[in-house]
Amino acid sequence: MRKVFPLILAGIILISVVIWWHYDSTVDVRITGIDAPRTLGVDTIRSNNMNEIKITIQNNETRPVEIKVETENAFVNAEGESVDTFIVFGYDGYRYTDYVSTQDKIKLEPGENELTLLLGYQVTGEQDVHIRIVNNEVVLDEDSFTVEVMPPEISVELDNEMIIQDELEIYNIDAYVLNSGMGRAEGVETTLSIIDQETGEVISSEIRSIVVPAHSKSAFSTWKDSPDGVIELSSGENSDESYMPVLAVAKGKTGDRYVVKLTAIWQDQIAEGVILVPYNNSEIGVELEVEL
Amino acid sequence: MRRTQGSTLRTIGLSLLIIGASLFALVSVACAFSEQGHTDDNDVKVIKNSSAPLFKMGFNFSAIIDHFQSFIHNERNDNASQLKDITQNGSQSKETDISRSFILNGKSDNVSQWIDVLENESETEDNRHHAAYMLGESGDSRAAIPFIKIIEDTEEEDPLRQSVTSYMGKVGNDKHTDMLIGLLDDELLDIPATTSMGDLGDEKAVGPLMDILANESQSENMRMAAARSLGQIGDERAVELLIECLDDDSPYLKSEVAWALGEIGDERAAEPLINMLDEEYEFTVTNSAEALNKLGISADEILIENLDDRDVTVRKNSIYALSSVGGQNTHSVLLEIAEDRTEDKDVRRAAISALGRSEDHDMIDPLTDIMEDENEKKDVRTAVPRALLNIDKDKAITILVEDLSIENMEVRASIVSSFRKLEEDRDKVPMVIEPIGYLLQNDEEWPVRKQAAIVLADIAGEDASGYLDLALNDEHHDVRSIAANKLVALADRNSTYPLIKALNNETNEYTRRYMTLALVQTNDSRAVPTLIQLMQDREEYLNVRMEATEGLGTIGNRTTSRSLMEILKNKDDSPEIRNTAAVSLGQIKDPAAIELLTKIADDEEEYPAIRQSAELSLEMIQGAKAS
Repeated sequence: MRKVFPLILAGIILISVVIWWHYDSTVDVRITGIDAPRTLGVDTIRSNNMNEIKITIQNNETRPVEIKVETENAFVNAEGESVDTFIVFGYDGYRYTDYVSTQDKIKLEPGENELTLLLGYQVTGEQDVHIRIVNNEVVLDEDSFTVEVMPPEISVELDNEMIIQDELEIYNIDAYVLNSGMGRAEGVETTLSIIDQETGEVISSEIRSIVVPAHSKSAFSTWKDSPDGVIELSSGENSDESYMPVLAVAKGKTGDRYVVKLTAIWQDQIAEGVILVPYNNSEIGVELEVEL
Repeated sequence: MRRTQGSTLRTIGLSLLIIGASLFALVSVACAFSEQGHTDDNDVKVIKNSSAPLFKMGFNFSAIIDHFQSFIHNERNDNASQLKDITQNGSQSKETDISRSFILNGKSDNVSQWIDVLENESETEDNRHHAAYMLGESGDSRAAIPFIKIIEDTEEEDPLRQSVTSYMGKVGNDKHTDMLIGLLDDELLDIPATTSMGDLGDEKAVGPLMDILANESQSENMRMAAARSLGQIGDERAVELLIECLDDDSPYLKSEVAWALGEIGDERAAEPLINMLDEEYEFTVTNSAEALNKLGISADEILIENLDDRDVTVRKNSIYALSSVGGQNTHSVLLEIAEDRTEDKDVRRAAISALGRSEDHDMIDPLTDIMEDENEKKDVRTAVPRALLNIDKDKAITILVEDLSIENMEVRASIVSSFRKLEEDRDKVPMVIEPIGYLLQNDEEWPVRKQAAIVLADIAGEDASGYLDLALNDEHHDVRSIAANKLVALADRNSTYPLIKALNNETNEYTRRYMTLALVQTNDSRAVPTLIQLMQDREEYLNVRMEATEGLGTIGNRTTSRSLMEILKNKDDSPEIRNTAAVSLGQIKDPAAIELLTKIADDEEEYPAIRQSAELSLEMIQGAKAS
């Protein structure tokens, strides 16, 4: 018993030491600055570095300290849930070359450390971002900031060009979805229809889901050398040309007129444009409806 | 919340520590234990210091502490290997230094320097792979030890370990055979080790390699590597097994086995290899014919007989094999097939290609006749231009340039396309530039014009830019797109106006982007107003705006700064464009931008990336000002 008792006590001490060591919050590590944009466009993390924030952390210890950076609302998915994001160490101008998850530990050198963290939002609106520096489950420091996540602003554009081949008038239709907002529009459901002006019958139409980056525009079709729609008018027989890969195709006689309609829907935004073909190549109206 | 939990638990720990230490101090007075040695460490210094008085009293629990400490260290060291070190004030530097690879090529003792690169874990993966390759190619035995270190280090990247293992045979010697045999059970390194044993050439490996080849449960790739290595070692013990494997189901294995039998050169293989000459897989037939050749047996007769086989594949394979091993006497047979209108078109194409490889000048006229015959199948005619160039470039160019007027569009396109072969013989290129340029401007068929644009740019380089400028206004989009794409590298001042004009009409995003890049490539100040217009146009494709903004930094001057500053100021605009504008201002080094860049760099509500770009640009401008 005399021999065992000291060993039991030694065990107690050791367990105490473990607890003391594990939950030691005397580690002097502080967030000294967060450099973050106040507005961002809705987007997932892409290959540009506009979604970055810089966190400056002062490690006042004389040794490196292992920490985890816990985040809330730094990355919010389409369901509005906060999920883990990335800490990046390398960016070559085109893509991130070196990064870890916020689930991973990182080591802070003594002195000032600067971390680059990525934000990403698949939902719009105000987001309260919370950053915690954690060492062995003890929060060493924490800070917050707010980001306003902006939506895309979509509109549409239609154009056409006529070429003559023998007795055929071929109208090549170009259709675009424009985005003048900060947010990226993913999955814009876009419909290009050719409608007989006289009967109102939809002769042909095509639906595509397209992506429109912020402050940019996207063509309706991804085919490089193809118009988005074709109307072929003939004074005699129409051609056998299928105009593939174009799906929105109408063939008629000289004198026929068609309404070409482009509709783009992203969440609660609907943009619609219409042109009459043939009609002096000019637009008869492009309307933008935003229902917020 | 976590802070509270942590504090509570810490308090409990501290209390337990005090209670435990007090009790222990009392009891230890009555106890005597021998002291044990221990090692010191900063991380647990506090713990040891607190126990120091107890040591003097005769009790030493340092062994227990050491055990505990080693547990902590093991755990923490394990973690440490997964941790990312970040350097002070920023991220770690891991820049790729591919250029170093080329510098090292010129050094006298390349081997030791490649070893340095290979052993340096901070080097990029690409550089280390390249170093491994160069060391393997050097065949220098000094590479063996560094290679072994990497093979044995399971922390190293798998692809690097695999590469190094496959090169081991080139730098190692017989002493390394056992190590490679040991790797045959390693799922990651078994195939490279098998390959390496062939390079090593040690007969000790024959047994294990035969075991692999005989074992049908081994993967096909592993058995193929074993067959090839057995061929490289050249030991006759493997002959019977290799012959048996000619009956295997895998055509790829049979092809390797045929090759190996040719390398060993044992006459027992002759008959089985002859039986392989009507196999379905092209390389089994060719390797068998070549192996028979090495055994001193001509396969020509059997291959010619097989040209009458009912199976198209057998006939084609026989032609490929004859092309590899057949003598002069087989050319007339091949020509007969090429001219035979009842023969399958693919077989005829194979015969035409084989005649091209024969380099037999007597074949030029009959092949030209095939190409020029309007009644021939176009698929057969289009195989001729390349064959002619293989036989004699000078004669072929004369014939082909004349035949650019052939009516069939596919044949014309194939002639143009065949001129790409002149890349390997550049002094012949001037002979074809003008005729191809003429086609690019005048051919009625866009596929011919497209081929002309591609080939002209590839073989004529800068001499093609004038023709490509004209092609920017081609009526077919594909031709315009190719011309713009090629001008990205070739455009000069003469291209400026054609590019500006083409940008006015072009609607395709990618072609516009190429045109913008080409406009920057001209390095012509006359391009600046157009680039500014592209940058400012919010209805322009983002990629085009980005290229224009970046280009203004390259070819812009101080008159451009105002437009760039306007873009940078405007927070409603795309952050990507604004960031690029900040970078471009730094490149132009206009002191007038200092005030705005300073404001942006200090703006806490600005995007960090833009602030950083502004800071860097400020440094560049101030550096230029100071100098």
